[in-house]
Amino acid sequence: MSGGGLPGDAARAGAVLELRGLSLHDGERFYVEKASLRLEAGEVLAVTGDPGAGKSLLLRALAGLTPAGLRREGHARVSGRAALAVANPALAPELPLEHQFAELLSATAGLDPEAARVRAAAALDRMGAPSPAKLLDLPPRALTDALRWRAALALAMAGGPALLLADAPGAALDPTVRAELLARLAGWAREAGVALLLAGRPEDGVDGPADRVLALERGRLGPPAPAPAVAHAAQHPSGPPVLSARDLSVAFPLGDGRVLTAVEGVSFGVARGETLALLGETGSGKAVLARALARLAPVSGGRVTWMAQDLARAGDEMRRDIQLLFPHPAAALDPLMTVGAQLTQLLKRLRPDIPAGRRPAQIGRALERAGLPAATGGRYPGALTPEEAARAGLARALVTEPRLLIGDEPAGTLSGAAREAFLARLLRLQEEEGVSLVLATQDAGTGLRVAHRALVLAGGRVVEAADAAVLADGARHPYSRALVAAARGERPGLLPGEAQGRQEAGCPVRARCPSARGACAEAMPPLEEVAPGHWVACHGPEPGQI
Amino acid sequence: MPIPALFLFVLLATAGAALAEGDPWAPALRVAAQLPASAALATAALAAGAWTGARLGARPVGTSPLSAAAGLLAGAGPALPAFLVAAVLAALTGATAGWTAWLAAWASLALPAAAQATRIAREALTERLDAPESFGAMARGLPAEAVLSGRTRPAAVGAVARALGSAGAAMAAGTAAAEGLFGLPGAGGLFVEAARAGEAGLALTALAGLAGLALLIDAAAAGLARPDGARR
Amino acid sequence: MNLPPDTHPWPAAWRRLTARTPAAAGLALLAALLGALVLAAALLGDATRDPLPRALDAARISLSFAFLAGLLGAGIGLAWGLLAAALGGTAGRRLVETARGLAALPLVLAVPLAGGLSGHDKAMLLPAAALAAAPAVALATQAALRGLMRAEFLTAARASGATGREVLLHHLLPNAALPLLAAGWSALPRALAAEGFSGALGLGLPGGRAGLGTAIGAAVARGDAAGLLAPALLLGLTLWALGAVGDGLRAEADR
Ligand code: SF4
Repeated sequence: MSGGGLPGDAARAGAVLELRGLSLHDGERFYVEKASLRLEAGEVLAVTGDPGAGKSLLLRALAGLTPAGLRREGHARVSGRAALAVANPALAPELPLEHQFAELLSATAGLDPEAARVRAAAALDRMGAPSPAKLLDLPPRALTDALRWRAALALAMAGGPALLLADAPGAALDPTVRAELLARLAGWAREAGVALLLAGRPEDGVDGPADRVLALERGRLGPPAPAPAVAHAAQHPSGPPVLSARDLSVAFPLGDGRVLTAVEGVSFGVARGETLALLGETGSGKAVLARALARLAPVSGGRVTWMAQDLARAGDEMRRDIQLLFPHPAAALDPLMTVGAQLTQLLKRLRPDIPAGRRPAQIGRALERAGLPAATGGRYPGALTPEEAARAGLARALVTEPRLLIGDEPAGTLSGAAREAFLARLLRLQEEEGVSLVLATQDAGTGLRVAHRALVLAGGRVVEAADAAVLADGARHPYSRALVAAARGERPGLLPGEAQGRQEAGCPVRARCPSARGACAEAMPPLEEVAPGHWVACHGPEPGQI
Repeated sequence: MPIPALFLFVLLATAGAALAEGDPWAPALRVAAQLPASAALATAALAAGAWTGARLGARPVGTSPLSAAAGLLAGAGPALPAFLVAAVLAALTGATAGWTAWLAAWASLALPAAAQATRIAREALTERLDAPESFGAMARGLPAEAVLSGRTRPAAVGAVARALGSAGAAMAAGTAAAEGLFGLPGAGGLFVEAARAGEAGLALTALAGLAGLALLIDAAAAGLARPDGARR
Repeated sequence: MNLPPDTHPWPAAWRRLTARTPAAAGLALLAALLGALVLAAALLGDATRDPLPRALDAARISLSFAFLAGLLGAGIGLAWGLLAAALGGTAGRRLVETARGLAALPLVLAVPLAGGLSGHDKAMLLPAAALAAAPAVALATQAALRGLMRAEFLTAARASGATGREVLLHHLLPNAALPLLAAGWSALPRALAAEGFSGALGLGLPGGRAGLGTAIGAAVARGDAAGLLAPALLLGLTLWALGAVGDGLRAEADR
């Protein structure tokens, strides 16, 4: 695919962006301090930083949109036009895309609607959007998130900037979809000779396709610090499974007699002190599976046992053993009750054996183990930072002294060092107390690092299961390989498309699989053992050589 | 309840009321004959009010006298229900018939409609100005003036157009008050007269006619707003 | 506004509410009006012939009417909306659609109709005003609850073994209080306007010592523009104040 019809084909020479000692401050606080960098045409630079590090402000300043009240000092030079793609697709929801392209291209390039349409279609195609011509007639409201992002980035590039600043592009998308999107963007920039600056949190994957990476830390721009002491799974414990699922299915009644099957035929076991990762994209069923284990989703088939007892028939005493960590910890706390009051309530319900007088001590200990001062008990959820909220959620899970923790993206609201610290704490607790963990996450990198075993789910079914270390280096299923590649910042080997939910028949990833064949559409491949403890479900030619 | 079902309900109520009256068709015919006058008054006032409000409210909020007037009108809206304006104008002009009465009735319906429209347009304008999509468009290189004229102002006008689709009830009630207070012919005047005289059949028939008027206004406004509403 | 982290969300919401200029002005106006009413009743005794004390007397009657009818209407609307949310499914949807359909009709006309047909009987006017206000309250109630019922903290409570009753009493209802207050509040200005509306047409509360609407209607009938001033001003201001407080409550509930 060439950049046909797009501007900037002729590589521009020399530095497009040059900063020497650029500072942004409001007279009291420096948001960016003495930043220096040089970006050539066709070069791709990633700037990573935690939320609040000043990335968005820096980008706004470079685009000439410094917020009122901020002062700029130092030297900044952009040769040519700079365009900023802000941290969400930011398209007018009701205006057809064609209109939005025409509006921008007439203002920046003086194109008439006809020419604008041609260029828009080329840009959309370049960003991997299917049937661009049809897409142009639709308003963004009718599009999926991934398509909105493709359109927004296509819009930014169609304007023909010399410098494109992209703020957390596709951050909320599935890592697989995002990695493919970023690879396309970077490929275009190199080909068209546009200087591309990608900014994002460390976990947003912007470093993947970049030539160079800089880190912005509390306003200072510099080489990224060596990776922090990241959390790793401890020695793989052995022993009989304490939690086991056999042929588990989860289905939601839709009210009109039909049912929506979200998980089908999943089997696994988790030993004491073991961590199982549930990996997959949005809609793969991993979160539903996690909730079913916490008895928050209806099990429609198969059996789950905890300590040899059927979970479906167990009473409330099992709830003290199995606790769930929610994906949005702040939203999972009642805003009208203090953290302490909610923990007390939980103890009253699930630990009637603890006398009222000993509850405060129990709560204090849970807060401490979660890394919070005892005073947090007197605070309301609305006043907590994301990090504190995540820890308060952990404290709530710990207060009943559970033996199994189920996490549904438990660190999903955290970034960088805070995220690592939270995961490290979780693993330490596990090691010290032998708690078993089930972690559902779309981030295969983290999942495989902290877990002993992993299940890869697609469309509600397991497509690959193996030890985490095996999957990290030798995943065989094309979909698992894509998840692992995306986590490394590499371009996943799947065709452009989106995460898909359950399908009636056939392989759930066939629409995006480059090796799909006739059989793939007819039947779901069976899970077969390709090596001891390594199971793969693929009709592919030779799993592993795909 | 979908609009057709409501129409059926209104028709049945009319028929029931007429039958109760003994002479089944007289009240219904009287109301039907008077309804066009009410419809003309209500639509003329609503159109003028919405147009003025959309013009005033879609102006950038600033320090100009016009902007201040728009702010005042939008803010004072809740204090100015149509019946109150009509009462004040009726007491001031003493008009009970003729052009003055029509004009005053029209004004007392148009003023609250304008206030409401100004408020809606202003809120939509500010909301759209603060929305990420406006900043996003500027960040991609669209000039601020183009964002304002191409996006935010049409959005404010679109919001007023959409709100027209639920203005019928207030307009029908206001029409009844204005016609009653200025002694004008129309379904509303008939309703007030009948209620004062305790004529249940006629009053109910007129009420049904006014309910039908409210639904008609809603349906017509929704039809008018759709082509624009779908775009914004 | 920086509040200590151990401030209960309700006082915090109150502080934010009073920090909004229109809502604060509305509250001050309402407080001033209530104060004036109490003072007038205590100092002036029976109605005098001066226009202002007479208007205050009428305002007292109007507000009492609006309060009772508003309370009744809010009660009906809240029950309606709660029922719709609790039932859910087709039955719940029917209830909502009925409320939406009725809210599109000029229900306020039922009040002068009741006044005219019953010979200005309070016992008919009050329920008519209440019923006219109820559908809008029902719609707002159902909308607020629908969002709240999906809140993750309710799931978390269920996961911790709370029974349906406990979830309802300890978590759902306390968190619904503010949205429901905002929904119910809207019945007050509606009921007050209904009294004004029917009174202005001479179809409201019975004559003699009656509400603001009746006073306005009488002044119009006499062609007495000066006599209209005080009751019209009082009615307009009170409507404005109730509306401004309602807007503030709604904004707080939507946060
Ligand atoms: S080869 Fe077939 S079965 Fe295997 S992943 Fe691709 S589509 Fe699925």
